[in-house]
Amino acid sequence: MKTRIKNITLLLIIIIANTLFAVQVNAEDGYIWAMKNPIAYEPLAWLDHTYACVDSYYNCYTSPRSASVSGGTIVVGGMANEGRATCRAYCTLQYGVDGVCHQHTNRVILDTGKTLNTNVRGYATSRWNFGTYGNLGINKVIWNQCVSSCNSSN
Amino acid sequence: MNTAKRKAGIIFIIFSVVVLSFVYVLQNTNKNEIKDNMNLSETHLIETTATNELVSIKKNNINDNYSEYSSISKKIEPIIINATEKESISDSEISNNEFNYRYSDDNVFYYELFSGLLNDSNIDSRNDLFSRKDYELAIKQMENINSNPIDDIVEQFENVIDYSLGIDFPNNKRLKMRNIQREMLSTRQELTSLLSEDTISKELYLTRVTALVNNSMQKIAEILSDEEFIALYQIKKEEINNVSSTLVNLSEENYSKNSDNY
Repeated sequence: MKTRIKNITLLLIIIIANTLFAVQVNAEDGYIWAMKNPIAYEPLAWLDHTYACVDSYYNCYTSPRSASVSGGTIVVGGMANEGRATCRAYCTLQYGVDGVCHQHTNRVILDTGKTLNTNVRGYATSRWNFGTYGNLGINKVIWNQCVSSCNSSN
Repeated sequence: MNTAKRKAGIIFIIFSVVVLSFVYVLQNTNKNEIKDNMNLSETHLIETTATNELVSIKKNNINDNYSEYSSISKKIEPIIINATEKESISDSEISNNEFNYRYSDDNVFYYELFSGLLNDSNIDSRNDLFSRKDYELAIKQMENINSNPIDDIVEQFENVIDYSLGIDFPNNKRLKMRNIQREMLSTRQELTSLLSEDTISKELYLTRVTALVNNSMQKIAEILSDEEFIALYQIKKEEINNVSSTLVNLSEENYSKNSDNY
């Protein structure tokens, strides 16, 4: 009888632990998406400005920081760790040297497993100059370090 | 005793599988709803009454593939408009497919229209494939920390060529374009190093890079036809000067000045 009780108790503990673990694994996932917005200013009319939002339209990021983070339409989105996405929004990206808003947006939505696509006007040109995540320039190592740091702290 | 232990073990395994499956399904239900909604390719007309209640949705396409958005609305909070604002929007704007609507209602119904994805799920699939290939390649390159960033960017741009010009785009043209791009990026990297060492000023850097990008794109324009150039870069050959000068000279100061225009 005692052994049976012990077995059942052990069984229940393991089941509860499994359940808690399964729930905890994705507890910090949220919806992260990229937006594009046409630029009205004539010299920039060939370009779509992009920004990325983490879980809420009130939590959006772009480069440079002073640029708009409202309006437009959704390009891509997916579920991913919100903490990491927010962390990466602050990784160093020298505007015009490492990349532009497109590369910054790709950095924020990195964990969704997606990138911007050719629905974004000017993306091909910025890719030609700066790549997907803006690797060229003096900050490639810094970007890689930032990714590792964001992954380990979230 | 052994039989009892065995039975307990089997029950434990079955129960664990059931519980974990249940949890997994619960967590992914939300994701799938959101994914379905984000991949919509049909257009809809929305009708509403002056009391700000959603009355009906007409579907322009036969494809009956959408679901309610209450799960999304809990996560996404776009622009809210009331009935008064709605009345001021013209029919042409409704058909423009370039805006977000949210109707504040007890059910919090949220709807969004996409441009460029009308009536063609192929575009969705291709864009999806394109961005996934990009992502996989970029992850592979990031893991190889010692790789040359110039090689990385050139390799990444191959995806863009595949998507825009087709995977059967002639290799001789690809090779020429790769060499031009590599040369441009190499020169830019040297200029960037000089900038980081404060050997040259930011203004001089931008001037040199403008000329460099301009020249390189002109060389690309000589290789590609007009249609190919537009398909790849989404600009005309005549607009190259505009591209190189604005993209490169888009300093933070200029961007913040322009933000009012967004």
